[in-house]
Amino acid sequence: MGRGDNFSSYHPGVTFLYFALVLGFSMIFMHPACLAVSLASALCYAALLEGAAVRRRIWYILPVFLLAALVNPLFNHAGVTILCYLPRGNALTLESVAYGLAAGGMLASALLWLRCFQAVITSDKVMYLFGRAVPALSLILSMAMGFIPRFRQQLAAVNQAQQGIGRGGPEQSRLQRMRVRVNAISILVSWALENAVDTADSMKSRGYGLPGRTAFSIYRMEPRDRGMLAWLLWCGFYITCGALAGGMDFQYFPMLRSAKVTPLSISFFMVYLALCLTPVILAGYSAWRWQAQGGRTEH
Amino acid sequence: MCAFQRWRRRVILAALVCLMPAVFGCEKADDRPVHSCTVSIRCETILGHLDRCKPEKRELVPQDGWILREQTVQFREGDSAFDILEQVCRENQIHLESSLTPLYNSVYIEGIHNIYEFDVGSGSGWMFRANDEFLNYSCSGYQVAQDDVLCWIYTCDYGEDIGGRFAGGGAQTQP
Repeated sequence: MGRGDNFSSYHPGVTFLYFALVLGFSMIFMHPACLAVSLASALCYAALLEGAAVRRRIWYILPVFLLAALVNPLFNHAGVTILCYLPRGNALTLESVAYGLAAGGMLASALLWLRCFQAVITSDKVMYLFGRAVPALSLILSMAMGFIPRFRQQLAAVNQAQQGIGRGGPEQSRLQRMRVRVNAISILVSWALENAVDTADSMKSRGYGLPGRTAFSIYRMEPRDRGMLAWLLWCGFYITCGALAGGMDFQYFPMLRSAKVTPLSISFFMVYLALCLTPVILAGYSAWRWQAQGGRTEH
Repeated sequence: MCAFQRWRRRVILAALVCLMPAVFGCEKADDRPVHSCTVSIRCETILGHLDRCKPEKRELVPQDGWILREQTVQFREGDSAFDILEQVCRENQIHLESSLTPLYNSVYIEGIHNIYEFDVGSGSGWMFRANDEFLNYSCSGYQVAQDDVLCWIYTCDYGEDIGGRFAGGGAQTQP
């Protein structure tokens, strides 16, 4: 979790509502302005959460974006602006290229938002939010979310232990080392199965999912959470109204056409931007206040 | 090493010999005899069903229903009606989308001038008429003859509204 991000310390219900709104809107609104807002904000928040390393970690989103942008014009030939003709005889149109770019942008921003979601909504928050309503599913979800990191940790531990008893060290031949690696995977799988059975037994014996059972949690609805909740609900309501009124419509086929840009429709986009950037603004504001009060800057 | 080089030279030579007919074949002019026929594209049936038409497509429908007025075009012997449609659409900057089913080597016209199948209800789409007769096979399978009158017409009702009910498959017997 990023050092500068204090949005993640809000009540899980509030943070979950934020991601539900932002992800939902990103996937529904195809207006280029909305996509740009969503993509830029997701990038900002990912950078805030993961620091400078984010540049190395999110490169895989670029091919996803390019693939979506390239594939659409190959299969979709609608649109009034013909750019050139494909070898099969159908036309390459400006509209299908634009739609491909929009679809790629939407995909990229959804991936980025899910990345932020995973960093902020940790497995204990998932359990807190859904443990009561859907105990089995939320347990599976929280176990699945932590599965890969725990697997990797355990694999490192197994490898270390194997090397400790003289197996798989650099002095051994390649074939021998490969044999040790395969063995380590087998050890890992039996560990995972045993671990899952143990966890299930332990939770069952503690009465997980039984009626009337209470769970300890460190989360409390504080005034700042209520304020944030009200802000998110208001933004969601305002943007939904704007979308239903047609202020954020955009038509790709047969010709590109945006809904009329009026001061009112601009206000929808501004509120959407404010909603998406809420955690970033919050982090900036608290950093500024910390400095204004004479606090030392972080290094 | 020497043997490898000799082999490489032989392969390159063989490739060149194989390519020669292709290269000279391209330069050879098409000497099939030229004929002429009449082509038109119309969609006046939509004008009566504008309420069913998709709103974003309404403004594409021409006031008089003609997308391409009757026009005499030249073609080479052996051209199919689809070849002529493609050529005419490119010359007149008319949008055309088609899809080929390789099994039957048959082309389906999905949309002309951005007016697509199903844009005016479930029974709508493009039909092909040659010399006042609707064919019940693709226009890519029709070999055009001198002085043919080719027409692509948009139907809103399985061909019933343009007199092509039989070819449209709506009913098996003609009244």
